[in-house]
Amino acid sequence: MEQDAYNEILDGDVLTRLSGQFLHARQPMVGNIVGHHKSPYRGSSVEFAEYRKYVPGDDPRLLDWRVLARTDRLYIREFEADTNLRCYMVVDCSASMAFGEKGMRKFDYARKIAATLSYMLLHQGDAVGLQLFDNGVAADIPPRRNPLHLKHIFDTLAKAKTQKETGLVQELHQFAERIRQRALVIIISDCFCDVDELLNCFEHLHFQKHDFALFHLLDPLELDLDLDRPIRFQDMEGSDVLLAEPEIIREPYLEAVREYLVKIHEGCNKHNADYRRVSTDQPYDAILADFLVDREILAKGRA
Amino acid sequence: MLWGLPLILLPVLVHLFNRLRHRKLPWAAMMFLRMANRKSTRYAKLRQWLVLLFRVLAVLMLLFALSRPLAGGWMGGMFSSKPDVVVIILDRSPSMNGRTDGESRLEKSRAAILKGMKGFAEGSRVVLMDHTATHVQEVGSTEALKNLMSGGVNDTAADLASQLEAVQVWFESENPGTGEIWVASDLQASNWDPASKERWRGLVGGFEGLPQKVRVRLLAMNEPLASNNSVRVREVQLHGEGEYAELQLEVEVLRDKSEVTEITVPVTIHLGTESRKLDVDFKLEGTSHTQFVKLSITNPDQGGWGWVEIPDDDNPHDNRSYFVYGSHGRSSTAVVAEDQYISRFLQMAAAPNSANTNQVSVVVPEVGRGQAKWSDHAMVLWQGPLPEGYIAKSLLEYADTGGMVVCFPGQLDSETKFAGMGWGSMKSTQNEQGRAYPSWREMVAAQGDGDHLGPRVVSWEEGEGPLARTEEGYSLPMDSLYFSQRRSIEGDGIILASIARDSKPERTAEPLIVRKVRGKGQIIFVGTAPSDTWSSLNFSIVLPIMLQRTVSSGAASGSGRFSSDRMLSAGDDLSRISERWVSVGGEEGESRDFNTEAGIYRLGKRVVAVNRPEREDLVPSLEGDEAVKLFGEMPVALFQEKREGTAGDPKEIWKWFLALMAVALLVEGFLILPKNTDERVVISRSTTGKVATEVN
Repeated sequence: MEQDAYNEILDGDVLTRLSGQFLHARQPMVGNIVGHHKSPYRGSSVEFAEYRKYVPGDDPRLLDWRVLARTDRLYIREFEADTNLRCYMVVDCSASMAFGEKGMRKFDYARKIAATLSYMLLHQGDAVGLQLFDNGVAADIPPRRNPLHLKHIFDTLAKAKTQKETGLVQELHQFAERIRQRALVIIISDCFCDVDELLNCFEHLHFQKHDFALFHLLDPLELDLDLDRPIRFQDMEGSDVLLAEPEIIREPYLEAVREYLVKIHEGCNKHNADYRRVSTDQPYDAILADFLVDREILAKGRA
Repeated sequence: MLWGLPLILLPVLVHLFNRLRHRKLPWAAMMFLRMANRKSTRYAKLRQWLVLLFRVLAVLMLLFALSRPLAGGWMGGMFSSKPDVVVIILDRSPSMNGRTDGESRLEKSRAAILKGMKGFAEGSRVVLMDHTATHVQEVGSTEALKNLMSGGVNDTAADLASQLEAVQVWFESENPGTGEIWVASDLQASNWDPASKERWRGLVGGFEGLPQKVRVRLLAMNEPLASNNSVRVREVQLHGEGEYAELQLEVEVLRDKSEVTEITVPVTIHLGTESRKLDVDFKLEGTSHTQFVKLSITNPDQGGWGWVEIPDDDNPHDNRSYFVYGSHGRSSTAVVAEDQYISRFLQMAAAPNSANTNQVSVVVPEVGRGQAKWSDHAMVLWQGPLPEGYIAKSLLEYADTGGMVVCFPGQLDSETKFAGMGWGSMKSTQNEQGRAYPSWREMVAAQGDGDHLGPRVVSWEEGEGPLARTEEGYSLPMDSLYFSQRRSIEGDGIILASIARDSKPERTAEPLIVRKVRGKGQIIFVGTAPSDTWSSLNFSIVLPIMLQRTVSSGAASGSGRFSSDRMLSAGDDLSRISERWVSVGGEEGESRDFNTEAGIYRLGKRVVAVNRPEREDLVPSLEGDEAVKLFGEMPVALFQEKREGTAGDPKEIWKWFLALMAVALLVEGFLILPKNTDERVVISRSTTGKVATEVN
C-alpha cells in the first residue's frame, strides 16, 4: 500500500537517470558540516583559494614554506571550505493545483518534483524539509539529513491533498521570516494569485539571501485555451461560474496569460530566482535534468 | 425547391444548439478568464455574428442554386417552384406578325415558350390556349406543343381578357393544382380591353379566389416595328348605273409612326372579278391618310370583289384589305309624318318619278315604327315630334351606318332631343296688326310688288351638300321661299341655311337647315315643313332637289352600309362558324378558313369579304407596366422585349448562386481562420522549462 503511494510520487527510472547528477546551490551556503557546497568561509578543502600575509595568531602550520624560503616573506595559503545545504521544498496545495485536463494534475506533477529532488538532496548529504501550503501551512517538516527523514517527507507528500483556497503569498512571507539561515528554497506552484504580491514574496526571499527556484506549473489547456464550444467555467477555488465562448475570449485570455507570465518571469529575474515554467504535458525528468545541469554549470563557472 | 428556404435557419439552430450544449469545466485560471471576458472585443463578437451570417448566406445560395432560377430571359424574375400546370396563351393576331430583327413576334414568342418549357416547366402539365380557341388543349410533350403552335398568324383579333376568363373557369372546374399562365402577346391595347376595369377586377378576383395559387408570366413582345403601314378599305360605294357605273373605294393607309415627313405609299387596287389592277400613290404626312379612289366598272349589277394592297413591310399581315361590291338596289325612302298632306308631299318629293322603279318611298305608319327596318332605306324623313326611346336608338344606329334622317318640325311643342338636337319655339310671321298669317300663300297675296314678306333665307351652303349649286352652276332659289311658320333649331350642327327677317341678316340670322354628321350618315333638321301653313317648300323645287340629293347620298353611303354585311371581320361573328363558306379568288388549290383568315368567301350566291378586324390596325400597344396593373394583386413576372432584348435566351443564374455560396463559405472560412503565427498570442513552452529572456 505504502509502495503504491510512493509509486505515485517517485519514478525509479527517473531516479536512476538523475543519479549521476548533483544539485548545486547557486550561492555559498552556511552549513554545519562538511558538504559539497561552497561556504562563505575558508576551510580545509583541497581547493586553493588565495595567499594572505601572515598575521600573528595564525596557525604557523598554514605558512607556505616554499615562499618563505624563496622570498623570506610570511604568507599563508588559504583553501575553500565545503559545507552542506538546507533545502526547503515548498509545494502549493491550493485547489487550483488539482487541475489537469491535457496533462498530469499539477499537484501530482509538483509531488513528483518535490519527491525526486528530496531524494537526490538527501543522497548527496544535504538536509531537506517540506512545506505544504494551502490557505495555511498544511505540513511543516524542517530540514534534516537523516535518511529516515526521507520517508517522513514521502509519506507527507503521498498523503497530501489539494485544499480550497490558496494562501501562498501570506505563507511565503511567514516562511521567509521563519528561516534565518541561508537555504535553498524550491517553490512548486501554479502561482494563481496576485502577481505583485507574489513578487513581493520573492523579494522577501531574496532579501533573506535564500537561493530559491520556482517551478511554475501550468496545464497546456491553461496556456492555449484550446476549447471549441461554450463552456461553463467553474472556479476551483471559489463558487464563481462563468459561461463563455472560448473562440471569442481566447485572444484576450491568452494576452492576459502572457502578460502575467512575462511579469512573473521578469520578477524572478529581478530577484535572482531560478524560474522554470513547466507545462504539465512535458516529462518532469527532462525538466529536472536541465534544472540540475544548469545549476552545475553555474556552480563550476563561479568556481 | 424554395420550400427548402426554412433550411437557412439551420446554421442559426446549430449556433443556438451549440450555445446550449455547453459543458461544465472546473477551471483553475479564473483570473485570466475574468480579465478576458471583460476585454473581449466588439470585433470578436461581431465576427461571430458575421460567421453566422455567412453560413446562413451559404445555405441560402445553395438553395437558390438548387432551385435553378433563370434570369435575363422571360423565365427569370420570379422565384418559384415548378408549377403543377402551365397554361399557355398565345396571341396569334395579325399584329403578332410584326417583324423585328428578321423574326416575327409570333416566332420569337414560340421560341421563348419552347425554351421555357425545356428549361423550366419540364414535367409540368401543359395546356395551350390559342387565341382563336375558346377552350384549352392538353399538350402531351414539348414536341406536341411545338406542333400545336406551328401555325402562323391568323386574321382574327385576340381577346386576352376573354381567354383569361376561360382559363379561370378551367382552373375552377379542373382544379389542376398550382398554375402559371404564360401569356405571349404584343400587348395591343384593343386585345386587352384595359378600359373594362370592372371586368379585370372580376377576373383577378376569380383567380385569387381559387384554392390554388396562379401566377402569370407575361411575355410582352411590344418592341415597336421599324416601318409598318397598313391598308384598309373603309367603305365601298357604287355610284351610277350601267356604263356610268363607278366604284368608289374609301381607302385608308395608316403608318405606325407619327412623323411629319411625307412618304409615298404605292397602293395597288386589284379588281378580282375583272382581272385588272390600278396603282395609286398615297402621300402620308401624319399617321393616316384616307383617299377616295374611283374606278369605272363594267358590270355593276353582277357585283364583284377585289383587294387593295400595299408593298411588303415589317408586318406583311396588314398590307392587304379585301372588298366586295354589288348593286345597291332601289333607293328607298321611309316617310314618317304626323300630317297627311306633308306625308304625301314628302313621299312624292323623295320619289317623284313613278316610272323610276329604283326609287321608292314608303310611309311608315305609327304602329309600324317600332318594328321598322330603317336600314332598308336610304333616307328617313321624319315630320312631327322627334323620335324617342327604342325608335330613336334604332334611327341613330341607322344614321351611324350611313343612313340619312331628315327631320321636319311638328305643330306640338316637345322637348325631346334627338342626336343632341331638338325643336325650339314656334315662330309665326305676323302682319302689321300682329296677327299670324295662316299660310304662306296669304303672305304672298298681302305683299306688294318687289316685296318679300316675312323672313327669307339669307345664306346657304352652295359649295356642297343638298343645297349646292346645280352642275350647271345655278343656285337653288332658296331666297324666294316664304315662311309663315317655323321652329327654331336647338343644338349644335353645321348650318346649311340661315334665315333672317331684316336687311342686316348677320345680326338676327337663325339657322333654318342644320346638318349633324353622325357616324357615316347625317341627320338634317329643317326648321319648317312643306305645307301651306308652314312654308312654300311645298311649292318650290328646293325641297325635291334637296331630298333627291340627300337620298342619293344616302344610297351611296348606304351601299357601304348594305355592303357592310358583305364586309366581315375575321372571327367576330361566331354564329357563322358552322356555315360552310368557300374561298374564292385565291390561288389554285388554296384553301382558307372563313373564320380565321382574311379573303373572299362565297356561300351559295352570297359573296363576302373577310378582313382582319379594324382593332388590329396599328392600335398602340400597352406598356408592360400597364398590362401588369390589369392583374392587380396577382403575381406577374413581366418580360418586355422592348426593354430587355431577346426573350429566347434565359440565363441560368444558378451558377451565380453557386459562386456566391462559394464566396460566402470563403469569407466564413476566412473569419474563422486562426490568426497567423505572427499575430497570434503564443506562450513559449520549452521542454526544459527554461524561458527565454524575451518573452513573446
